[in-house]
Amino acid sequence: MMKVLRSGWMLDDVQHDQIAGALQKLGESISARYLLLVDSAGQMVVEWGTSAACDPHSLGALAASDMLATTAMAQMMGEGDGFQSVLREGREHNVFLTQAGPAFVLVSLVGRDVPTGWARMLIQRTTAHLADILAAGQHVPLPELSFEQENLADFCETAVDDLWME
Amino acid sequence: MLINWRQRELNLKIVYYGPALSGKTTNLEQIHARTNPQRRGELVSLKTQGDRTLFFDFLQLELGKIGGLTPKIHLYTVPGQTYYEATRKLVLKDADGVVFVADSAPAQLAANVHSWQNLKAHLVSYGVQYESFPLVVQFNKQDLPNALPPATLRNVLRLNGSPVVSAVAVQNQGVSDTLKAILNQVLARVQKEMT
Repeated sequence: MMKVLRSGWMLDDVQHDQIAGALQKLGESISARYLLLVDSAGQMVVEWGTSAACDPHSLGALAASDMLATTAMAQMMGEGDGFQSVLREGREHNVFLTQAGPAFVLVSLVGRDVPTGWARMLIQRTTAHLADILAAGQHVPLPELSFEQENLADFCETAVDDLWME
Repeated sequence: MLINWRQRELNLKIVYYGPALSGKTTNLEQIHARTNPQRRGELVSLKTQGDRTLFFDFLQLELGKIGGLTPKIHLYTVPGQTYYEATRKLVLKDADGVVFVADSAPAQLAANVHSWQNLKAHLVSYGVQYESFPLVVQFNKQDLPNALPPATLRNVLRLNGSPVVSAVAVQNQGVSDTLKAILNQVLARVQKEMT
């Protein structure tokens, strides 16, 4: 992925479409209920399927933290590269957390009737592909992000006041 | 930070850091209770049976557009208890800004200093230059009868240019001002990096 900022990432339209296409293909291949790609801070990149009653932002935060914790555990136990995949088996669905390169995590909600090995293999192929997409250079000219620095304080004042209900 | 041009979203992560029982979770609870439900997510709390933060609290807010983008703010707290050091460091990863919630009780002075130094050490370990990192300090519990005055806390923590907000978070005093201050710092940094 193009790292244009010291503190973060930017995703262009082409990358977004490629990721969405890859998630759709995976979702159809393994009859996934829901797929969610987040960055290592838990911020949502692209989702596919239906998250039902679940808030994808909360899910992203939990998934990224789970993966971070698992990776830290692996490192403490001498597995320097960390675990690349975590499986949580449920009564109706399995949840796979899979790293897509060093800075992204794919959450896959898959029915228990889908063979675990089959799902795991296709998910890992997809995350390798996603990592390549995310590592690719700039595809299209990005718009300028411009907001007036001198108006930031006013914006923050108004934006937070608008959120407050009293 | 993640900017998604297709979705026109600017995603930012802000972490509330500080010693145990300083009021980090209370800040998020107040924000959750007093903001428009249509513009925020649910408050996710990973707590122990004793109602103490085990991993983190999480709350997502959506602001009005700026620069054609919708800022989505992800607020986290860290567990304050000493033995959750590893967890604190994990939650701090990839943060775009930090609110340090200091406890104004005189008995908590040493805990404030320890946590403050601990925060700086973690930021350095992530390659962050904390002198230029978006950081706001909240002096919470200013309603205590023997609360340390802001000037004292500022001296003890050796704060230089970091914005400071006095607060009584449990009464919702200073909570939104703290949020405004950190947003201002974070967005100013985004703007600076983009130009």
